[in-house]
Amino acid sequence: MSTLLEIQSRFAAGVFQGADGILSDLEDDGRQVARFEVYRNNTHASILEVLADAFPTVQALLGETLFTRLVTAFIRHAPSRANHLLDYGAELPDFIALSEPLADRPWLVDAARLDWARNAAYGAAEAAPMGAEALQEMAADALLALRPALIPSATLLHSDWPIHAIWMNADAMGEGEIAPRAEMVLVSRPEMQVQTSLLHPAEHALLQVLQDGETLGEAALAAQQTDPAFDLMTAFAGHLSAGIFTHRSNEEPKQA
Amino acid sequence: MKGTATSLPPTAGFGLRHPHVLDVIDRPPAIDWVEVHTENYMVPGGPRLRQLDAIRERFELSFHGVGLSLGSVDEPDRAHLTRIRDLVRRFRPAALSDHIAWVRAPAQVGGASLNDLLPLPCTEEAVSILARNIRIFQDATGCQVMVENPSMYAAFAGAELDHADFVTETVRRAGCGLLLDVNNIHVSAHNLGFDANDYLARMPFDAVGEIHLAGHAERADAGGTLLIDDHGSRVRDSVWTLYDQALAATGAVPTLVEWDTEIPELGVLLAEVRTAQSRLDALRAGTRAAS
Repeated sequence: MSTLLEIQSRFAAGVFQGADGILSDLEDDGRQVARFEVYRNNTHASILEVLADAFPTVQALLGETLFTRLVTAFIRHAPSRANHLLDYGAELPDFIALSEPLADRPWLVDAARLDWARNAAYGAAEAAPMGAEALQEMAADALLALRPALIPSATLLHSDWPIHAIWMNADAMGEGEIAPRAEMVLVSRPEMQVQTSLLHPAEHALLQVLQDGETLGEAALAAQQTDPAFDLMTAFAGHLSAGIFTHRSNEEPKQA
Repeated sequence: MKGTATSLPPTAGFGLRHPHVLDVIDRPPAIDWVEVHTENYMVPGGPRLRQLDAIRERFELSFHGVGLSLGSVDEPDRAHLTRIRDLVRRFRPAALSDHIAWVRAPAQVGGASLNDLLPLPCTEEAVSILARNIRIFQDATGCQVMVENPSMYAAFAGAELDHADFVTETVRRAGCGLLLDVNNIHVSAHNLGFDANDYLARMPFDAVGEIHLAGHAERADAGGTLLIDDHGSRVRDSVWTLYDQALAATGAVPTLVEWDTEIPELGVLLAEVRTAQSRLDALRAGTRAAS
């Protein structure tokens, strides 16, 4: 009689690697292969469903057959080690980047990063948004020295490919070439809806510098260097009222 | 929820899944409780948790886990237990459960999740590992938990106990409650060739804190037919019959209808809930008439 450790090890190898060592552990009624196949299918189908939900753009770009092949390879390479699969798939963009068969679709990596950012934003931690009223009272010096943080659900993406357009039209863009054109995107979930916004390059510079922990003054400088004509105040006010900034924990405003 | 495996009302509820959440918040059906998969709420923030807050304001909750892997040779994951405990503190569920099954490969071979409720060999070793892990689950959460009897497609050679004794021994040694899934009994009995009525008759009825009902599918292969526990259709007549037999032994027990694939409109699910409720009502009327 095999130990539980041996049985569970062989069972997992049977599901992931297709090893048939587990079959001799099963009761011999001539149907062991069909019986074990149910378990193998359940694992692969359920993980495929999890990743298809998390990566709708990648699935639309690849089509079902190729996407299934990608997932099968990914499960073998990086199976989930967590007890639930809400976090599973974080490594898929890097896996795509290393995939030789997908090297002729270089935009796919950033599409996967965008999908993952949206997936992560949905369940990200909450944070109290920075209020515009508090800032209106501040002197210019103090305002420029402020270091607003982005809320936990926020991800900035800078791609050499038009990832916002690809995300919007993934169903139509699956076939054929996509011409390189840089696009920058902010993914966030200020309230209950995940937002995916196309950013002006100067706007991206502003937010990136803030995310790096620098002051509003330094962020404004970076934005102006990117595009001197850019209307910085309007962009900042827009993001502020959309609720994507929060106070750093050591910078809570004094309660009145 | 201390001391007993459940403080759910002895009425019929259903497994609340994502497509119905907003519907149920907007137009709460006339039921007392719903069940959710604990793992679906293991997120730091966002709409899922806020929606569950809204659900909790109106209904009692049962937390039904699918990820603790109580049948694994390894002890339950501490981080996972902490997440369950935090959810229990926030949402104060009336019942907490998981399965007689394993989900994760042994840590020694990498610990990958197979994301499915996998079968255990009916051995003394497996019973004592299950009992150890269930006790760890109870200690970490401060709750008496329930474990669900498995649905199985394959049995292991070299069994030391039969399938019914395996469940009964596990529950007895762990000191936990039993979540009696009558669809699982029907599915496993067909697939493994044992007598469903005999298995049911040997369950520890005083430990049953909740009953599960669900639909299953049939899949033909070269050697015969396997019943697949897909929770994707109405409860079959054969399972309703088993349910009546179970109720005759347990008395009125909180009963849940599960539907997880090909999820229908809420009305279809609620009709199944009403069927279960009418059987619970008939049981109570019968008890009154007899006393």
